[in-house]
Amino acid sequence: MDCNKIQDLILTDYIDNQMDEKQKNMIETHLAQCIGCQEFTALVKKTVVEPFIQAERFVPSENVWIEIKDNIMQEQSVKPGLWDALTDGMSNLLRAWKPGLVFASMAMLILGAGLLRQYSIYDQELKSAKAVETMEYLSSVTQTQEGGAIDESEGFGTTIEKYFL
Amino acid sequence: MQDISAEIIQKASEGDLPAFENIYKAASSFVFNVAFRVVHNREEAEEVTQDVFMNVFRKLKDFRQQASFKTWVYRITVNCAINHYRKTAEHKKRSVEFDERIVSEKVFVKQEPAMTQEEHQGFINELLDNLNPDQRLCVVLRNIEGLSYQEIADSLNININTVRSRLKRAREALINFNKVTK
Ligand SMILES: [Zn+2]
Repeated sequence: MDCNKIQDLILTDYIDNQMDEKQKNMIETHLAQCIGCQEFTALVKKTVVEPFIQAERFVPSENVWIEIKDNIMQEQSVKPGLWDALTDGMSNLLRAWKPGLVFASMAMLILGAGLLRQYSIYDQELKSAKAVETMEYLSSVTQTQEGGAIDESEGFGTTIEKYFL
Repeated sequence: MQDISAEIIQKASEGDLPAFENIYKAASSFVFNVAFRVVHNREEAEEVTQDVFMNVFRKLKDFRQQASFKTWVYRITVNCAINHYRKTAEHKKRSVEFDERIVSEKVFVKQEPAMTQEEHQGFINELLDNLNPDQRLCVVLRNIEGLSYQEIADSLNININTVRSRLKRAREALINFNKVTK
């Protein structure tokens, strides 16, 4: 192999250690007997490898993670759809109701739910606002003491299906 | 970039924030440093970093475990950094005269026998400035981040021989630059 081809390999795979042993041996056998390629190797190491060895590593400021976290939390807080919010609210309501009222109230809730579903094309924030409003309204109508409004901290994660199981 | 367990990835993909913070801790140094080398500005590099992690978080649900997570993050990082660079490249053209004056002053500094750490970092930036964005990315990923040719090829979605030829041309440019300033 001529010096040009050898030097192409030195400039890439050889100095980057991306060669198998056989190729590496071939280069080193050539280097042992060719001063020109030895000098080229020294030049390459000095000008394209060594300067980067001490490259400083930078650390992003703490604000970067804080902002990422805030963005994610913001996205997550609007993620649970209206339907989830509503069913959670319902199970809270039902928990507080006397058994005799369950049947009649179910009918009313389904009606309310159907109505609320119409809002699903609206903006997410609007949806949850509407859901809270409606749940407050429903709870005041049925005079329950608790569980009327959606409590974001504990409301999500349960569903009306669970209640009936 | 540090290794991240499949369990952490799974949890984060379900929206678990502490798990995602682990991913941030393992990957943010890579992401920020690559971004910084491409956009050359701390504030912009932080913007790119945020962009990368929001992308990772949103796309994590669709991430297939059989693919390499690292390579996936490398690829998102490279794409975000290059996009940002292109968006601001037009704006930067206007300040090119100013940059050139700074570079020529630094060339003089470089001739001093022993460079301070700060001068050395300036010299690294100067070297990278001699390269086009494609070459620069290959050099950063290889010489600063230590990726293999195959990892670079996967990150940039290019053939491994293209990685070779970009590195070759980049290094020829660096050798020439060294001759010119000697
Ligand atoms: Zn030779």
